[in-house]
Amino acid sequence: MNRLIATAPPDVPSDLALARRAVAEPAAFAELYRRHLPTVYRYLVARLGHVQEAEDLTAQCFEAALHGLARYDGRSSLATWLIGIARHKLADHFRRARPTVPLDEAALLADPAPDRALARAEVADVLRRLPPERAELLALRFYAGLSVAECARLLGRSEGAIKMLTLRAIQQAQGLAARQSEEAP
Amino acid sequence: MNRDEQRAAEALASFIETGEAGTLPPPLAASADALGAHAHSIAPDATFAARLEARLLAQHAAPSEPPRRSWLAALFRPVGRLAWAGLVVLLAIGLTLMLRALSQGEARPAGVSPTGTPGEPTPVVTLTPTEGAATVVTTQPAAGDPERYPITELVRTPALALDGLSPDGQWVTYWELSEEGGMTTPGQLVLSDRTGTELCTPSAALASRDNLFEPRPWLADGRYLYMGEDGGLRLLDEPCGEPRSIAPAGSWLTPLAASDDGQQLALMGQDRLWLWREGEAIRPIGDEGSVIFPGASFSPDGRWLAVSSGPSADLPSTSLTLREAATGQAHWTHDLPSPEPLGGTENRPGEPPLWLDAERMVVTLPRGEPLLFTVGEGGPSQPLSTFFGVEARPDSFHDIQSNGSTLLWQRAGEGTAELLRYDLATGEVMSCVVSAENPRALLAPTSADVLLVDEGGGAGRLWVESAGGEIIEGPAAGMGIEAAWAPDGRRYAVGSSEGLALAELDGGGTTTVTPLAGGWASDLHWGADGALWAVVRTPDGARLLRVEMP
Repeated sequence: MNRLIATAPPDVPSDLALARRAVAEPAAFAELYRRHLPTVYRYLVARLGHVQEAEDLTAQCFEAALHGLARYDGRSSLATWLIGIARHKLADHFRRARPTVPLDEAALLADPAPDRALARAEVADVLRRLPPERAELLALRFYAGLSVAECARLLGRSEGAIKMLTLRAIQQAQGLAARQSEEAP
Repeated sequence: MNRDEQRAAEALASFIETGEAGTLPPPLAASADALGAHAHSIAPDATFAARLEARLLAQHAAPSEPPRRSWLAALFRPVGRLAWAGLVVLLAIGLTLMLRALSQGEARPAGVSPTGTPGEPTPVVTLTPTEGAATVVTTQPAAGDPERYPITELVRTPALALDGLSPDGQWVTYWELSEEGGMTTPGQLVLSDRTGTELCTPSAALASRDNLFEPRPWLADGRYLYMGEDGGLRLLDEPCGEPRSIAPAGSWLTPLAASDDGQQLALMGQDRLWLWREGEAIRPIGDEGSVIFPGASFSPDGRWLAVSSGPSADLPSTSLTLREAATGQAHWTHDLPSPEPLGGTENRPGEPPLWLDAERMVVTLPRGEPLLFTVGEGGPSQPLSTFFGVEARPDSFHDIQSNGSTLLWQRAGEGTAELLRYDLATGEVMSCVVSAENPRALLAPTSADVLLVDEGGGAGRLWVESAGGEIIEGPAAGMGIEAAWAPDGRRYAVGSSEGLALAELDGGGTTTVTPLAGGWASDLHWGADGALWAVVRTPDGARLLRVEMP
């Protein structure tokens, strides 16, 4: 499958080394920005489903990272740290703008259809209709490329729970897509 | 959850990580592929990316603005200090009058009063708001002698992070980090005595550094708690001793809280709570699925376990349950609706209730005012903002601190944050004079002294406001400030990009020692023996230091 987990050759400076330099060196910050912009942006597009809003929050996220970089100490990966900032920005965003999909509608569509695979063209629509917790998990796993352990830490769940929730989220996404195709004229 | 579902979940996780489908049912693999392909198809617009980069670099390259001077900062200027002192007194009087107005009820939330009325929440506490008076005396620090503080370098390595200190300060755990392939990896955990002569590396059995958790891995009785790579929870009764299993392999139970004596643990696993007590087998409490995103804390005497669960966007209430720690039985439960619904994507972990003493605790709701509970009857509860108006809710749980005698509350104001101190014994309330646009406040462990850190305007500044209203300027600091009070509350350490500094409060004045060590200082820990531990990073690598106090 397509994987978003990037690896760098050994002579490429690590995120932590770059982050230390980036506090004082604009070029180092630019390098970090280029490395992680796609991850942050993908995650925000997946959660918001709206390019303009995703761009706005991406900008806010990196501005916050620029000002807070001195506190990054390598305890988590830089991607996890940036996604943590992005999640705060999302929370603020949703605090101001209520969700566009009624929650009760998402809650009603809970029957999985595990025998029917999700098609790529259906993904964006299904993500918007999933319950928030499950959409968040899929965004973290597939769009931000975070590991099970990183998701567990961010969401306050055990790794076993994250694996199970991922399975159920995909099953529910399949069910949503199946129902939608049945209802289509 | 059945066995087939569990197998499918494992196979799916493996497929996402490795691309190996294994036993994963084809429809699930195809769906995961569709998600991956969709993620890959998303890329930021090149023009947007370039413009944002230019904007960020312009911000980065901009010359540092001088510290944004608050009226307090101006106070420390030699010129016109008397005039500013007059202004301070006037402002203090103004604050006092504001507090009095608030306490007279004009800004209180409707339906809540200190005396209570039928059908409304009835107060169960005796916090009585009275205004304290601040006698503002400013003191500038004298320079100290770094030679008075012997420094021992225990480790020098390319990268490291301090994990924790044993409660007696005799043992330390730290991570030697590896930087390979553009990623920082955990490397190995090292357990060492305070001299660095006795070492062991239990990390071979650790699941990963990400599995370390709250509470801190060192329990109050000096034992070390960690999760094995098989998902089992283990305890080192003796440093570098044989590990003892307290939760079986594959259980993946995450500790949420430890009692103050280290003899009890509350754990989370598979949507239900578990309880471990020394000498007893670990056991589940409550029903499966009964807790979502919980926070938990034991009462100081270990008798009670308070659990705050949820909320999320689809389950908008916080549930607060008080359980008897010995039996796990629920004593009472309250369903606390969120004052505002959460956004469509939000899940807020329940905040661990903050115990003020063995009888009282503060519970924070997302976007709501903190509530004060007593163990006796459970409810009714009393919003703490009774005294300060509905706007008094804190920005986050960490804005409320207690050291058992004083409760410190930080709330956002117009342009500056406001700090309020409550004397838990007398109910006296006093507003701090010191403020800043976005300060961090640290309540001293043994008094009502408050340390404020302000990093606004591109430079760091620190002050202490004593219980008596004396304001003491702290040492010069750079960016990324980390500060920590010593256990005796008479000194504090400061780490920043400018190195490690120390401030000694000595009855009306302060002595600062800076830099104790050059480099980027962080990971500050005070040992119970009074020694200070810190990690200092330089281009040559990272050093783990121990600083002895005179």
